[in-house]
Amino acid sequence: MSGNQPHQGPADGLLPRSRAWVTSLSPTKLDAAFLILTLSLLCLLVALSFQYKFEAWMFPIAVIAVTGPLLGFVLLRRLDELTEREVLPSLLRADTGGGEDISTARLRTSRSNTIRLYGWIGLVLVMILLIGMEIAIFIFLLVFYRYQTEQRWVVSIGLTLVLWVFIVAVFTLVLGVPMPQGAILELILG
Amino acid sequence: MALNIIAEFTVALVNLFSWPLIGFVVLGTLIGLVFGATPGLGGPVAIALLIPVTFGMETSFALVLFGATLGGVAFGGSASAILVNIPGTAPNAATCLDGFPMTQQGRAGEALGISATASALGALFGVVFLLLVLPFSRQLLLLLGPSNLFWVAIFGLVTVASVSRGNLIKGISAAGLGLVISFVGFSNVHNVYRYGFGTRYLYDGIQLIPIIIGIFAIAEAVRLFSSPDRSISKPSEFSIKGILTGVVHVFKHPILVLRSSVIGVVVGVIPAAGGAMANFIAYMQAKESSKDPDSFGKGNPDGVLASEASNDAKDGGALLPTVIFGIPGSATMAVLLGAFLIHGLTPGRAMLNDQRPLLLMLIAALLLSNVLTSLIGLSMTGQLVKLTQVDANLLVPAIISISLVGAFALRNNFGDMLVAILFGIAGFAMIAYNYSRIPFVLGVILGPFTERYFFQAIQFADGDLVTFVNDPISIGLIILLLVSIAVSLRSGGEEPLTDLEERIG
Repeated sequence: MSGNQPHQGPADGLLPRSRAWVTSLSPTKLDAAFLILTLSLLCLLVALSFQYKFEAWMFPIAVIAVTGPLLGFVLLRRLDELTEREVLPSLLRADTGGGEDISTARLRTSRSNTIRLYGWIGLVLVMILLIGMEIAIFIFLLVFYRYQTEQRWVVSIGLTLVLWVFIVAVFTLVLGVPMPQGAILELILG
Repeated sequence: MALNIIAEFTVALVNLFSWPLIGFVVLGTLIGLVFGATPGLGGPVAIALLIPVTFGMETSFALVLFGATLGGVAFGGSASAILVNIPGTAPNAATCLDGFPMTQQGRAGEALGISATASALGALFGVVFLLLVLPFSRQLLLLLGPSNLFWVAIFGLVTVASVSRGNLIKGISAAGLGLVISFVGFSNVHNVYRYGFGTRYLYDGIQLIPIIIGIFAIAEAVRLFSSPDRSISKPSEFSIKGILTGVVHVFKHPILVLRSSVIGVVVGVIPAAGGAMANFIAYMQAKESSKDPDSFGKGNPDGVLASEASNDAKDGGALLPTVIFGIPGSATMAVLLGAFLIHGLTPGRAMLNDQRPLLLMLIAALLLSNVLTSLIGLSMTGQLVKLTQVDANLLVPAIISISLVGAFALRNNFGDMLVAILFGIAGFAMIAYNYSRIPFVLGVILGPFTERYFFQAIQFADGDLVTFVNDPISIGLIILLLVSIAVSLRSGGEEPLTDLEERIG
């Protein structure tokens, strides 16, 4: 695989419209959404602050009082770019270092690949909860190597075994971490 | 005093040759070589993934492993830069300028010999500097009260923010967000549980390890998977004779080695200045002082020498603000600082007094690893080259698996895995939209200290806020803070070198 080509996966034919919508969003819009979400969280923290005594909320509020407006300024800059209305006075319209050029030209991020990998991460998390960590990690590695990176079976199994043995050896045998068995296995084994 | 520290250091160095410490030195060196040679990984990812692995270990073993890994990463990145023109880590970017042309001219062995020798000598210089300055740093610390330490923390945050990726506004915002994250949980200062929504999980706050794993390891895995562009070059052959030629070349240019090492150490001391900046400055001074400056960029061995000596000397310099003030000199130091805290090491007085033997062991491991790296690295170069050609997609599931298991292993808690994933998403968003992760992580680490120093200062001054501006040290720090902000605002939208650092890893 090279350049900016999206990886192909089993779910590619299933959600073409939603994928097309997500991949069509401009980096500026996504940056603005990220900022709105962050500012919303900060507002929530401010609202929670006043239930504590003064000394307990003074410092956090002071930090939020600096951080919030700075993020708000960056958001205004993004909205300026999106609406092309130049809401900010020209003197305040400093380059905040974001937008279309940086995302696409410099990082050349494939949004489909990003979402696909988060899908894989979500899948392995669900598998860990259902069938336990050791089995889930093994299956994840094997299926990822075989179907996502399209390695041959021999290579997929070999890589999976090496990594799985390493993880089990270090975390289970050496560190003694009690790996979760998962809900289904716990039900079966009682 | 300095003689005492050097004597203690010598004891620590000798102890490293005992089992199992020597085993950890070799292991850390090999791990560092692999991570350094593999573009997209590097020091921060190596340390972040090692943190959960070292949970159950004795602190001394863990520190030796970290120190040795740091030493290995530097040369691993050099081999990649020289052989295939891909800097394994950002500080190795300057090595590409002359290292790869030397490879193209069939002089790869010479370049590697220069790299190995200059690295070892630079590391030695950096360690000696650190050992000589450490005794005086204790006196400096004794001068500082809570109000001064508060401003040191703020200065560190703002300076890191101002020289990191993106611009000042985003940098300070990232630092502020990190501070806010650190306020979640039970506050020992105020004896109150804050921002936890009443949940048991958040009572101890959002844990540092899952944050580091998510922000650095998982986010980098996503970045690798999302942008799998990689230039693959055919590596050239190299000979033992060429390597020896390179070794001799370094010893024939001691002044250049010394100058470059000094630059590495001095720039390394500056918080968040980063190795890339040190190496490019060293490279430029080598070029300007050369009798044949036009040959730089075309395979001049002095270009490789300067960059490599500076590269390894900087670690000694970067450790100084990290251990004294808890202000990291680079992304790797930021993650290492997290590792210190997890293993019960506290920057400042504690690390320079009671915990000094452990600190000296870390420094000894760093030095020994640099020497070992040079020897092992030269003999393993053929295998290292293969690593640079590994498809990034093969690394991604390995990083994800180790990250998730590592996050879980902290407290056997699924919540920590979720936190790692959430911060993986946040970390990738920060990469994509140009917010530096270093000030964010620093904010998480320094948040509790900053708040504690703030309230201690107020208590000592009976509530008088003038205490923050009424002594020369505080005023000096405030002036430095304003200068840092002014310089950053003046440089405006120019892309700082550390942007390259975060993109390459």
